[in-house]
Amino acid sequence: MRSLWEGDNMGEGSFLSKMLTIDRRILYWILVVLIVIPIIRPIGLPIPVSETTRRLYDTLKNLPEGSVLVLDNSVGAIAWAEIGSALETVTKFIASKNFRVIIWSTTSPECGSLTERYLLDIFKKAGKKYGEDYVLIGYVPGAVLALAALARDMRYPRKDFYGNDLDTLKIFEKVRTANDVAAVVLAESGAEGYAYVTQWYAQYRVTILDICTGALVSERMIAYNAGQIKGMVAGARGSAEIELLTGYLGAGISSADALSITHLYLIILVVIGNIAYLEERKVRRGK
Amino acid sequence: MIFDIGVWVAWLFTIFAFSAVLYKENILFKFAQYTFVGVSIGYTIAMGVKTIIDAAWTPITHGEHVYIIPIILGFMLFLRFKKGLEIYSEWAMAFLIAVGAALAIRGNVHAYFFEQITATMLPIVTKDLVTSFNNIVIIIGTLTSMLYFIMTREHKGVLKYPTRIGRIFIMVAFGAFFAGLIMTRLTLIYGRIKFILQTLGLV
Repeated sequence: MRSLWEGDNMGEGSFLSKMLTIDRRILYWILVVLIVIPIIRPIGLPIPVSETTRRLYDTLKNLPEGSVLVLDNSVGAIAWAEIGSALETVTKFIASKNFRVIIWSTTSPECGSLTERYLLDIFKKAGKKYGEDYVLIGYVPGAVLALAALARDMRYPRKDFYGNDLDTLKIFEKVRTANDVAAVVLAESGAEGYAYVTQWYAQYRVTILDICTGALVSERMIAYNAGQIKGMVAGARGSAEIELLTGYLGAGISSADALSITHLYLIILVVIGNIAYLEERKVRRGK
Repeated sequence: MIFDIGVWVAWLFTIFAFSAVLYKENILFKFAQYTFVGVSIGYTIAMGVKTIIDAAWTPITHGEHVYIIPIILGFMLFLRFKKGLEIYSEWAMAFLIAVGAALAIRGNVHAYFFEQITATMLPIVTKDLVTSFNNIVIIIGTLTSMLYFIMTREHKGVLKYPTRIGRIFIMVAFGAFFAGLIMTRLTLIYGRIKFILQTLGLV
């Protein structure tokens, strides 16, 4: 029987040499097929809930009634496909409780429109009153500078997304600084977690709960392990987990099959690619 | 099947964007690419103008004249394009850097220096074997990775093996970061493919 690389070398036309020079469009087409199949016919692969997601859920569940939460929607349009569903799920869970929620972003100009389109209806359906139970301030420019300023005075943007004077809104009665906030639920695709840890956690010890993209997970784990971030929904996988925990099933669960299969596909490609590379190097050195 | 012109425009642009990857670079892909760049820049400019109006101009019209200072500093930034006046743009830049640095130092020293060091001071012996093992890995990983960044001494002798171990830990960290990035990218592709199928009424 012929080995994968035709004996001991990377001969012309061998399987591994072909893999190194394969038209990448073929690999992309296979990827598309692997995504489409589970969308049309879900497989139902198991989804174990990780500790990071469970801690986010438990922290939110155990907050006292009437707590003030900041919901920072810094996801942006590009990352919405990945963690938008997690943010919607967490918002549904928050709306089911008796919390007061202040929504803003200091980095994403799309915060106002995305929140209005995807999140405000959740509060309305839960019977919450605008200005009393929740408020949308929208985009507050200034990133870290703005976060530091908001921690000292949350009314400094003066107006909400609709032009209402913040001083006149009932939700801000006895609420002014970060000391009045029980927790921040941050949905991010950039460096916002870092800014909250330095400006809200380090200065005011506010509980930070993070919903972040997969690309940020390894970076945020440092803050999580140090106890600076109390709970974390990590990327698309975390979206599926939080949906399972809260019972609000949505896009996260349905994407789990496709993502598991495509990850397996990529792992196989990485392994084959590395074996082929090592074989090629061995052959070149032999020559 | 969805009947909404906005949805179909998004559907077409998604197909145009995918066409370069699944077929080859073509005029439709370039059209989608340039439209995206144009729309993004337009949106950013509009948001920038709105920000200046909301954060500075409106307060000035309400009698808070102190906001003239940031507006002047903002205009000074543009002086770098005027020959002979470049130096004034540096004043505004110096102000920005000073404020940024002050804020970074205030938060960073505590959160990312003291607290991170404290977080690695972990007990090696605990009731749970897995926790003990994890703690040992964290301690060895932190120490050896830090040793790897000693640049003033050659990685020989006492430093030889610890720095090699540190390098392995750093590579594992890069691997974890890369894996996270793959998950993000795959989710984006998944979201677009699902959108294509949903628009066609196949899901």
